[in-house]
Amino acid sequence: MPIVRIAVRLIAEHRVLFVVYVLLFSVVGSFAAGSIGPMSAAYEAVRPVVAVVDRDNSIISRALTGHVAATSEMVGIADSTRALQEAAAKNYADYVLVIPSGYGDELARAARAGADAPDLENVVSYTSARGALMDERVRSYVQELYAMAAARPSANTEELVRLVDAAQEAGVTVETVDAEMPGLPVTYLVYCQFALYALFGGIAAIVGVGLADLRAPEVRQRIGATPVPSTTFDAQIAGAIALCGIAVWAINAAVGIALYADELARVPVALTALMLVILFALMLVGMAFGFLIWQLGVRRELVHAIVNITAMIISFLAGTWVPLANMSAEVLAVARFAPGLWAVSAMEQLVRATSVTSELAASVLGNVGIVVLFALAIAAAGIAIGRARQAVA
Amino acid sequence: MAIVSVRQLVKRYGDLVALDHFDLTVERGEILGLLGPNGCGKTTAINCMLSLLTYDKGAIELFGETMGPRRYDLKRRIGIVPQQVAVFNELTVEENIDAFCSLYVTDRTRRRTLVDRAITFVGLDDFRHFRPQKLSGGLLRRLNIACGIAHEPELIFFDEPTVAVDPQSRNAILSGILELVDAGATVVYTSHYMEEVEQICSRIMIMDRGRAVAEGTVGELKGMIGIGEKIVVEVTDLPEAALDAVRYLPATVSASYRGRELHVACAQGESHLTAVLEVLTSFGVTPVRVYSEPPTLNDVFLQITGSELRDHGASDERTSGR
Repeated sequence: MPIVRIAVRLIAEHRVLFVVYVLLFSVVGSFAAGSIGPMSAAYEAVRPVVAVVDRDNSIISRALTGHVAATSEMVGIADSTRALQEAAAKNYADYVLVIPSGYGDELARAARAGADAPDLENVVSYTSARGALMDERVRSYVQELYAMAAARPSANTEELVRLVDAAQEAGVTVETVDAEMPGLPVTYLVYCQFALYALFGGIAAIVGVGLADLRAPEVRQRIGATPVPSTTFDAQIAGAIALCGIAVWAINAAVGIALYADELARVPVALTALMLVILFALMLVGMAFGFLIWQLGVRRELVHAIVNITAMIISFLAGTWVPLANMSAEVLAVARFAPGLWAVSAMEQLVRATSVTSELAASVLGNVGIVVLFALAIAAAGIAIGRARQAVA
Repeated sequence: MAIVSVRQLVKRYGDLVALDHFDLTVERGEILGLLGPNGCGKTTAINCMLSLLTYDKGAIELFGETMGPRRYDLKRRIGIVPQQVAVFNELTVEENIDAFCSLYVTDRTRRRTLVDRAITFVGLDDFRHFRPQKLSGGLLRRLNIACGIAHEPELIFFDEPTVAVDPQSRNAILSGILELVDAGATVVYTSHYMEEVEQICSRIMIMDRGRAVAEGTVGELKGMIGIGEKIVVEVTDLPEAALDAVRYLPATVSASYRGRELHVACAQGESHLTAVLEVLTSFGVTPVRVYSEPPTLNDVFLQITGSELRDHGASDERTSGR
């Protein structure tokens, strides 16, 4: 196996690329996963920080204030233009509600007359969605009051508030239901999504740079004159690329399992194994891309640029940077022609899974098969380019 | 038995005929010098002999057997030192030689001996742990040679191995090639440096436009051209009549006066120096300095191939992939 030996030796000279493309990207993946925050088993409603300025002081306004207080952390605020402006500018609270004077009477009157409800004034924080959530709760409460007043024209204000509060109490209760088996943790999914960059771009960069000398025309001429058959040469180059790919996959998988060992210990081993199969398929795509880059004889300094741009595009189309759900139909249509989408779709199935079934395995392996087809297509392109270059020479 | 036998070889690149019914025979123990202007087909011929290139017509036999891309048994007995330095930049001198030697010799113990021998042979003992980037041009060329000869081949192709090296390194390389031949190797050597071909080659072939246009020993080649000795006479002044008189001498092929020097190219035969000096004396011209030299291989080369420039993107620089 002299060619494999030489190739491995050449790749070993570029071991820093393993650190940059594999270990560092694993760390980036773990940082991205860490940004999701810890998973809690118990459900707890979000309690935004809210300030209320009640200029009405009516039964309805007090009921509205009470409703807000029940689902938020209340903070005081002075009823002045300056205080309200500062609250908005300094992000004093997630939500500041101003109930105008005469609001309660006007709301009941509008409901009974079928007119538009009067406006509330509010300031919603720009730093998180908590203020918007609180605004939604306030609107919901007001709409119920409005509907109740319209439905019961003879009811007085106290009665309306009591009915609405009773309806609120009978609202939806939320509890966490234990699944038969939990799916893979979302944090591990995010890590694996970022692994796409290392497996695709990393392998291609290592192969493209590490084996560049074995592609140089003068070296090829010299090797061509040796008793090493061209088929043996090609096979051994493929073997060296495979060794490189497996090394990258193994490092990435080992880091992932080490980082998420506690969370993975709570899920069936089969799910983790299926995830590793998906990553293995992505590794094959990276190997094929590396082989293509190598056959193209891309100069070393260009390899990194080509590999990084391509890996960014592939990982974007896989939903690594922007969730697939936020992408337009056009982008999703394009993404179907890239391997990342199919791999990440399979990964998401493993996260959503509540049990390991043959249907789940078949579905995941179906996606894996599509990813492998991408690898085969890219490798075939590499072989065709190699043959074409050989024919020209 | 001829070690190399090429008969009526034809190689075309589209409309361009790189080798036009090219014939070549190299006997065991010979150093055959392959000379020719750029693009004449030297490298193409070597690549065809090594089966790195296909050819359109003709036959190639090495060691008495038909050569082909799958004749790995024959390839095992051949070494090549390509025109371009072909080494791995990431590996040290020792690792490079071992890497290429490993393509011929699988036994690690034997290979270690061969690599050590090759390093000593090219004088790179002090540089065995250096990477190619750290080597000078001459040392790099020596590494290039070591990578081609470490497996101790019987037939070695040297394709312009001394390009861009200093005289000391060139001398070391040429001495090394002679040692290889003394040890039993047969060498095919291409170069543009006439003096080194004259120095080491036992036989020379001159190629032009894909054909062998002349072949023989240095003496035989010099005998093929009409020019004999060249006489140069330095004079302070030369009357036109004296120059004409020199031109009319029977042995004069051409005569010219430039930069206070009279250059006389004579026909082959005995020395004509006395006759030229007698003519000058008869015109009252006193020579300041006089010297005569036999025709050089360069004269032979230019006489045979002409003096017009040849670098119009011809095929000689072509290399092959696998």
